[in-house]
Amino acid sequence: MPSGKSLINVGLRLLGLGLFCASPLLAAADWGLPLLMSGFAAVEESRARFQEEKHLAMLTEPLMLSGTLRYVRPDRIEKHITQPYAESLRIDRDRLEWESQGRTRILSLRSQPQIWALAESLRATLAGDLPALQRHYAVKLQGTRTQWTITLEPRYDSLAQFIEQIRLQGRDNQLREVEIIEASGDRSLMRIEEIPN
Amino acid sequence: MRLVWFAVLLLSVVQLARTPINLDLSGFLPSHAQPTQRLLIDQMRDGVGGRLVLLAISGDTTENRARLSQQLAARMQQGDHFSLVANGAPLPPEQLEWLMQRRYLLTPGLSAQSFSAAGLRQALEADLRLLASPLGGMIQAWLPRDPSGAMLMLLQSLAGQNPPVSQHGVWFSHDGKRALLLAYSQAPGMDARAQERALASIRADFSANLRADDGSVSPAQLQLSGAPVFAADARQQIERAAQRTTGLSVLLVTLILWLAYRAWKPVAYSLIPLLTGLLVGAAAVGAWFGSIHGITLAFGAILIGEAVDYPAYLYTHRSAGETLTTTAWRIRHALRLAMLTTALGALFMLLSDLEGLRQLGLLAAAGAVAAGLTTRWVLPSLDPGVYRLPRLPAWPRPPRWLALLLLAGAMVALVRADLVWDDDLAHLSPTPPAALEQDRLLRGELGAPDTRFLLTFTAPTAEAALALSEQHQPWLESLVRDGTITGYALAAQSLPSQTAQQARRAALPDPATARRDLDLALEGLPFRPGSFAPFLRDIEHSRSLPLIQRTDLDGTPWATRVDALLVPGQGHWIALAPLSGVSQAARLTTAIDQHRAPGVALLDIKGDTETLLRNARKQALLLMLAGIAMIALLLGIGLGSVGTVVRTLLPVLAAMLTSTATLLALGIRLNLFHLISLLLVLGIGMNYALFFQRRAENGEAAQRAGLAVGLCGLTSLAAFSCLALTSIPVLHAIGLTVLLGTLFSLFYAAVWRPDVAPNNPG
Repeated sequence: MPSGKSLINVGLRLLGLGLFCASPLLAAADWGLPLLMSGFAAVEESRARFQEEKHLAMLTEPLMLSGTLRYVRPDRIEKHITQPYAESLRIDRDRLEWESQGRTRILSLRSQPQIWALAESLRATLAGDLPALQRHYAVKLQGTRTQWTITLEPRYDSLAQFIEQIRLQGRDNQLREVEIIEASGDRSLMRIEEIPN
Repeated sequence: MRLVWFAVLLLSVVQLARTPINLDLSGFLPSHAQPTQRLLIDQMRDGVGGRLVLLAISGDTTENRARLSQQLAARMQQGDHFSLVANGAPLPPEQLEWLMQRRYLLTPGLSAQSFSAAGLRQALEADLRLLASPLGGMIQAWLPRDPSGAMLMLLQSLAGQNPPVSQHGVWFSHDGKRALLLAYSQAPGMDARAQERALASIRADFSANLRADDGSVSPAQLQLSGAPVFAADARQQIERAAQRTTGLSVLLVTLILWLAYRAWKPVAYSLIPLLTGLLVGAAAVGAWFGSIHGITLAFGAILIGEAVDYPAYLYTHRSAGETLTTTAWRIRHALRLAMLTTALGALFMLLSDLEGLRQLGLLAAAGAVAAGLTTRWVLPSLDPGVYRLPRLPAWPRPPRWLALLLLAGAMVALVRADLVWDDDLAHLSPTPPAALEQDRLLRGELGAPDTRFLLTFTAPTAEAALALSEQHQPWLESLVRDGTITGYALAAQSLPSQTAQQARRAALPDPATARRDLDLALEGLPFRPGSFAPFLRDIEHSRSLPLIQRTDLDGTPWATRVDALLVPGQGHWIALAPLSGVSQAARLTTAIDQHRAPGVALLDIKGDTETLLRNARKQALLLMLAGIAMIALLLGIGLGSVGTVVRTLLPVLAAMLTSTATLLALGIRLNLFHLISLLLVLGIGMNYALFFQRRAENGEAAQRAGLAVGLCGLTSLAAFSCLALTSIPVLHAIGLTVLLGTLFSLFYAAVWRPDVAPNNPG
């Protein structure tokens, strides 16, 4: 004989079941920057291959680069170019290390605000650090969880003089494409393909 | 007599009115110096280190700190206290263009090979990589004019090896919490008053910017550091302490004198010989040297402080019903000896290498004689009114064995002391260690040279000195690479030698060759045709550029740098390279010893100054000993018997030895100022001994002598206790030494005073 207590139990279970079933729907409805960012924030480390093409006004044809990318939470990014030449770029917090032709140049990101803002577009996204991203850019999200685009537009003049727009595309917590359009008209497009662990 | 006195006073005032007072420390540096010492002194007086002010803005937001830095720099540049203000803001376009146009004369590291087809090809390939890198944005604008990157190299060379980090276009500390600036003062570092005015102007400029347009006040704070700040602070602290102690000791001495005489007139008249002595002494210095150092004046006032004793001897020795003229006549021998021994001891300082000490010697000698003569001839004619003297119990006579024991103990302490002297300049500075540490940190952040080490490149002409420094630049680079130093600065970075400029200009190809080689180099590279036309134009233009002369730099920030780092000597020129980040001095000296190149030397401002100070101190000691010997001779003539001479000198010398031993036992190491103070102890002690030694004709006279010495001792003790209580190292050293000296002088004089004698020779 069901007592009052067990009735409540059953009701709660049903309610729980209902909530459980409804959660994907709710998530779909609520999916947005915070959730996307928390997805990125869950990634400790990632590696990827990239192909990049740079279209510069000075050049008659685009520069084509390829190599690997590595990200380690929260603020380390490495970019190793393997083709057409070997070169590597490491960002560790404020420090940028550029190794090219046997020479390493080190520079403080803080002293290069434009490069810093550019690096932040990538680092803050991968870190899932929305406030850091919003410090430099107005952030807009479009699309769905499996096919999204984040559009970044500079929030202050000194950056706007240099960058017009940055577009990041991806699926879930994977970044697939980064396109940077500079104010000068130069642009670069980087395609990224994650290397599973 | 009074007429003569008036005339002398008048002459002194006239002389003083046209005597300039030097407020810098230069008088305490040797005047007849070797070239390196000369350079050292010039560098200390108005070198780079002494003029560099470091500024840090903290508090408020990063943006506001950056804004305040910009506003402060702008205001300081408008003012006339600083010849250079730097805050890391990018160079104005016209200055960039100035450099851009002259880059092929200024930039080191380019050769004819750089402009060949192969050289250009290499540069262009590197440019492509640079364009693809995050630094691409930085070079793009310049690339068509400068594919070989000469401008970038030039800017890096001008910025130094480790420029501070920038945020919002201005320099910041690594933690981002402080905006940083550098300023180079117009006034030389040793002109403390001018530095004070310059620093005050910075503070005023800073506060003027704190209030924003909307009326809110920024909580930001400004911190100043560097040698000018320390100099100004030290001067202020010393001045304040001197004023305070002077005020206090005048009060105490007046009180003691009043308690003794119970009348105002004798108290007031007691000042007359002192003031006369100071006036005449200072005037004598002015007449002899043409100017007087502020420090001489200050120390001189202390040194002839014993002149305040002379009237005390006069007033206390007066017997009932006697006129002062009679008293003065009675004590004339003792007074004359007191005056002459002081003058003689001081006169030996005239042989010193240091002008400051020579002035001090003359001032003290002339002052003592003037004060003595005033006491002997002028004071008796001034009626002090009625005053009565207290009756003091007779001085106890401490047993001789106690004195001998004390003296023996002092001797042992003196012999056993292994560290007697302290020539570390830092110990004389009242700058707190925390401030010095802050300064070191700030200097590191700014990559600014520390004030201690300079490399010197000496050659017959300015051009040769520049060329010599250029020749050794690769070696300097190697010192940076192996971490011996973190950086250096050279005048040749902003003004290369004519030879170097000529060679660089000659390395530029003619237009046809340049075009041909560029086309060859561009083959197969994706650059748009015609991209580098501006480069070809610049090369052609540079081939006919006149070489850069010093006057071409006028109005640019580099003029200040060249003037500071390329200085004339006597018959030669010196290019200076201030070094930054010397962590181990020994490593640096070893590196320089190994390099061993003619014309290249290291100037260690701290070490070399200490050597100078040590030599001056040794000399002062010798001069003092010579002075004591002469005094003994004088006493021999004056007193007529060897026994009396010994009895007079013994207490004084014993007091000097015991004071010195006590200082050492207290863990204090001695410097020049202790020696100067001992000279004063000599003067004071000699007076006590002389007046105690006057064989008293009766008990009444003995009582008066005891009273005189007691009164003088008490006033000295009061005045120098005040000085000993200050925290200013120099003043403390003087105060403590004289305090101890007075105590021991009184003690030994009491021990060796003669019994009441039947006849009176004086």
